[in-house]
Amino acid sequence: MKISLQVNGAPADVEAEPNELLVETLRDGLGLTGTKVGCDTGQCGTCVVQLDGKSVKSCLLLTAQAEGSEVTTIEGVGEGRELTDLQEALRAEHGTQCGFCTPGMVMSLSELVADENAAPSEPEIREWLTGNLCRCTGYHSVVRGVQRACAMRTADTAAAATAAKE
Amino acid sequence: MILTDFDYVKPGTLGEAVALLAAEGSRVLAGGQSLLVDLRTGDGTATRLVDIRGIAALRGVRREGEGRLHIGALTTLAELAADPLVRAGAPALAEAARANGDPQVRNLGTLGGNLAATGRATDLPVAVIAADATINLAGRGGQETLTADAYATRGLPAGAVITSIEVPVREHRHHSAFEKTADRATRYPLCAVAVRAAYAGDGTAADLRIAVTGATARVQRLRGVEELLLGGPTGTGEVLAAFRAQPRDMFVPGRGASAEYLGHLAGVLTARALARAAAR
Repeated sequence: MKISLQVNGAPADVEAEPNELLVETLRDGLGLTGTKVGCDTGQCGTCVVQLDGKSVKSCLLLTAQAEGSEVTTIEGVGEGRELTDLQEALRAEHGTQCGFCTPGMVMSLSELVADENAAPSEPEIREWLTGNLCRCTGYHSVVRGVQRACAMRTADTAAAATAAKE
Repeated sequence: MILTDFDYVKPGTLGEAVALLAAEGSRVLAGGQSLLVDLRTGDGTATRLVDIRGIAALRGVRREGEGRLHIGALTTLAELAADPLVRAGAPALAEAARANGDPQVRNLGTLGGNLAATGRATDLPVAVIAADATINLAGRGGQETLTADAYATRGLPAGAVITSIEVPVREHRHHSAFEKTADRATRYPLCAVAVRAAYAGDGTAADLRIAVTGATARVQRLRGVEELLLGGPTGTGEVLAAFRAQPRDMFVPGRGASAEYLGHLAGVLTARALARAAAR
């Protein structure tokens, strides 16, 4: 089947079998290997991407179902090679460890902090991560990373407000 | 990777979908959060998937006449959990939708899919049964409406597509709540309970519906418990006593837990749900 997607802002016309999963198209068809395959049954969250701005598991979505949708992968967050605030804060807090779960974590958490004023509590962040498994068991540093990212933005906003007043 | 081969079709209307589903081996694909796992693991089979997400008539939440909510089958769990009409009018349903802790599954999984998932306990059926909702279906015989009690006893007819549900909303009389203990690995309910209650002036239960899943052989109303509690107080002691008075074979073991444990857990969850409902 011919499927038309938008992937990371660019049109992508792909040929996919009806039983092809989006994660297979992204990795094997388009070479976007930042999205990982862990469990392949929707439990581990290493394959999380965003579909029209919502985080979804790309191993639980047929490529055909994504027809006409905007798909964002880890390669498409941030400007070029610049890290987003969230990625920078996860790096600073050592929230990556072995790194295998990180792309999925970033794509999932990006939805949680999508609102500029988002300031999720620790329980809210931990609950949101229900769909992302880290087998280095490094959730503490991930939680601190999310809170740091939100604090960085709040500080930026406050600084901008002060600058505007002056 | 899914090793089974199947065709994929995406009809634009309900009529086309029903016609396509008439063929042997055709299955409804909505959010796919259970079906695609089953096809991947080999627990399910299909020769054709009929993707119903292009059918606009299956979307949306709206008030339907006096005191009813119409909820389209394609409403996602995330939408259901956040919808102001559902949260105000049928809070147990919003809580049940939110009870799947995985945000990515909530973003794609749908009301209809959760109700139709066969062979496993899911979160929404208890809330739908406790709410005394009706389930609208389309099938080869045309449109059909199933009461919550018929759904609880008979399940869904083969080959039918759930199109919507209708939930009675009586904000000032009935109060509802949902409680769940999740299996930690899969997030499916070890046991989940939904209640809807109305209370008399002295705080005794004047009307009661209690539904349970996980602890029993299938999702069901607990009429025996309801009868014992009706007309009296619904504190933890009374609720647990009512559960202990049930036939011994009512509860069944599952997910590594004994029948005795699950029966007790169902009682505890019911007591918690009733306490929260009463406080609303």
